[in-house]
Amino acid sequence: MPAKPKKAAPAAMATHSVAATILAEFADAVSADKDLPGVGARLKQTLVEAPDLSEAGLRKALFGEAEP
Amino acid sequence: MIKVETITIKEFRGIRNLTLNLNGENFAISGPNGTGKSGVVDALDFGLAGSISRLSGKGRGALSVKAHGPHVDSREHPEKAVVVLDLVIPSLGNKKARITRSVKNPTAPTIVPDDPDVRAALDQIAAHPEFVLSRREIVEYVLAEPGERSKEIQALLQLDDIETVRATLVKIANATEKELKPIELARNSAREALLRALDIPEATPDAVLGATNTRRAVLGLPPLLGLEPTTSIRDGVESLAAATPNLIVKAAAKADFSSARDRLADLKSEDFSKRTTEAVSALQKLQANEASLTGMARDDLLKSALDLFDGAECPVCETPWEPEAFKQVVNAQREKLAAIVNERKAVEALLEPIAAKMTEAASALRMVAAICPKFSKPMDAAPLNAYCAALTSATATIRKFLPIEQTIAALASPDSAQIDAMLVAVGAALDEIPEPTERDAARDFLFIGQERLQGYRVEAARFAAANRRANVANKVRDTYGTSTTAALNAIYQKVEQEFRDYYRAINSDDEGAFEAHLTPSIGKLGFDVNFYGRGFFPPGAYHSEGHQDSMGLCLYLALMKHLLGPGFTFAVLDDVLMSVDTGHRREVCTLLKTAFPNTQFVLTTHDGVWLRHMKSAGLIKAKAAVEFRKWDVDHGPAEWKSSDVWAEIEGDIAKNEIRRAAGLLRYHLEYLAAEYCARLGGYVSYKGDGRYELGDLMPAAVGAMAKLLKEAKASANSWNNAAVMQSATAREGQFAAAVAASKIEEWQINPAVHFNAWENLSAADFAPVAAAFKKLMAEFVCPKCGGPLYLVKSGHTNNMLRCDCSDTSFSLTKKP
Repeated sequence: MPAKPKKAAPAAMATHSVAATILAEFADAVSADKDLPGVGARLKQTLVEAPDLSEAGLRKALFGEAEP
Repeated sequence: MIKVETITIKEFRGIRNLTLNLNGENFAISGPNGTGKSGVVDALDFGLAGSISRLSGKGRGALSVKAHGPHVDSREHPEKAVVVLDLVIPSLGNKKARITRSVKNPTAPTIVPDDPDVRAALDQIAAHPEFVLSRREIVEYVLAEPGERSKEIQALLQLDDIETVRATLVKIANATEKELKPIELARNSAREALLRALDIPEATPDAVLGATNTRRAVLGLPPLLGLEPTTSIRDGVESLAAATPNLIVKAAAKADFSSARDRLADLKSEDFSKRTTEAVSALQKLQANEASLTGMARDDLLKSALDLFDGAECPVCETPWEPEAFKQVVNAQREKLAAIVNERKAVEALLEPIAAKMTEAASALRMVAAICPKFSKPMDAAPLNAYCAALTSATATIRKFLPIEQTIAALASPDSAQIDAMLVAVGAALDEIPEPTERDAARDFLFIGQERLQGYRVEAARFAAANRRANVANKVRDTYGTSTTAALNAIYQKVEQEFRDYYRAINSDDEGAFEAHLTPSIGKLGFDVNFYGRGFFPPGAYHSEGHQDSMGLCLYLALMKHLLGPGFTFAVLDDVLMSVDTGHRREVCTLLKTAFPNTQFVLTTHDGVWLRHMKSAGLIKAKAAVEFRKWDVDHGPAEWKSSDVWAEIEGDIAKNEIRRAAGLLRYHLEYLAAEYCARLGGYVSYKGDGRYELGDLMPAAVGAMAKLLKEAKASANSWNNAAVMQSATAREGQFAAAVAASKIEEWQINPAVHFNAWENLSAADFAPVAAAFKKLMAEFVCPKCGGPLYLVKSGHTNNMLRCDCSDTSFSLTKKP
């Protein structure tokens, strides 16, 4: 039985799984880095709040809308 | 999460129609192997998660829920294969819900009430199929290689997202580095072109302004005071007479020509030749190794497969895959290729400087090609452009790397004989261009300088942006590594501590100082345990199988506690403690009962003694169990329900099927006698083969009951309690009469002959035998609640003979 794609499982992430907790901590660590303004907030959105773990999603989180 | 109140299973796996009342409490399913226990486990798995763990995993490729979920006789009717679960959801204030799932449509169960909070709770348990723990998983957790263990435990903790994100961040960081290289080369080329045009040694504002202001002074233009990103060095030139520059700016053209000639010479140099020879040799070495070559090609394919996988089907053959299974298979293949990939990286490091030289030559020669049509007698630039295109194509082939034979061919620089001749002609034509006046030269200088400065600015901005992206990607990747490693270490430390505490609780008698180390490293999870103070070893090194099973259970419990916290309300332990030694079973029961009071455990076992341990230790209540006695394909599992069995025996007698009735009576009496021996403390002579028969068990059970009734009378007499004395005496009389009626003394003279002789009796002869034993067995239960009587002891002292409802309750303690 084919499983749902990763993007289709926000409910599981929203229950504060171990993975979600780790990813949130990582996003906070990035937010604390002054050399990476805005990246931490975008990562938290992409990894935890509205999970989209695709490469496109992560690129957007890393580089913002400026991604060529 | 949820708890299960009842489960109804129809036409599913080996079960035709079965309902079990679990009442949201711990529940045991017991019976010999092959009696249908696993069918119930599969039904719980399917009903809650929509899948059957036992039908997936290694070596189960041809099995599927759709094809093999229904009972074999209903395989053409998957709609008949249904599991209905009545649930209670503690996190929603014990809200009740019913989920009905059919094999025909396993992903779309009917949920009543279909409320969002109920769906969320069910989604959560469906996302945690690890609520079923079988012995297979125990072995994987405890005995697996560190790499495999890491995968199993990460999967259990659902840490696969962590690995997914890590791999993607690494991929992005690598890609940004790779993207940077050609952009850097283009920036360098633009800078070289600027330096040549302005005839300056370095691209600093002072150097640019110095060269520019000299020419501006010649033209009578004011000097530039600074160089901003928008500054035009030819500002004001348009206002001059004869503002249009020559088509060819001789000085700049000669500099470009000279550079192109040098770059071309680079490609013919000894150093370049040596580098290409070395690279070709390395490539041929790889090429000669067919396996390496195949491996490299496969790695590219595997990388593409991962990129193209849509989460449902293989991008090549469209076979359905679970995402994690697909990634695991592909990544396992890629790991095998890691050594080959490293060889490739080493050769790529040899190739990159060669590709860079070819790119520089192509870039420089294109500038010369651009001059050709501008001569007063235009020259055909086509051969030069074709040569540049050939160099660019060769560079792309080299950077692509595969197939190797094409890369080797690309390393042979294209034939430049025609280009050499052409450059001689271009050089001569450039020499023939008249020298411009000082003013024209200054004007042309500012025009070409501005053009090159702007080109440099564009390329420098592109490079800066790409560099910023690479820096962000690298920094985020590094932060991810640091952050997640620390978080995982913290998790494993907590799990390690909880695991150790649980294991100590079970084995406090001889391993009260037990220690364990969970040691995470990249992609691996080491697991070593202390063996009686002699050092740390893998669990399988010295500990017995029973201890290893305990470790597996403890690790599972520690992981689940960490994963779900208070949400760990339901777990199925499928025969996972088969080899826990008798001395530690009570401790296992105590651990489950005390450390997880809010978790409903469903436990399966083929060991009737284990089942009694669970009951006597209070892990499960007396009636919270089902015991399967047999299974057949037509009817599925049959339970040990006394009323059903007696009815079955009487039915067989009525049909004159005495052989069948006799066999059933014997097995049922064996089962009941064993149960009563356990409850009443009946002594049975030890047998090395453990095969206790009716002749061993029944006298022990009867003897135990007779002895306890006698003790009850003695106790009542010592307290001078006439009422109890009368009751115990009556009970003893009834019991003695039942024993006598069953002629048990006669039957047990030679059990091997006489019990088997039942099947040779006629229906008229056998019916009274069965009736007498039914009456005798009724003497072992409470007439009011129907529950079996049992002995309550304090150490070695008999305290009480009673039942669960206390209607039958005899003190066995005499007045001191």
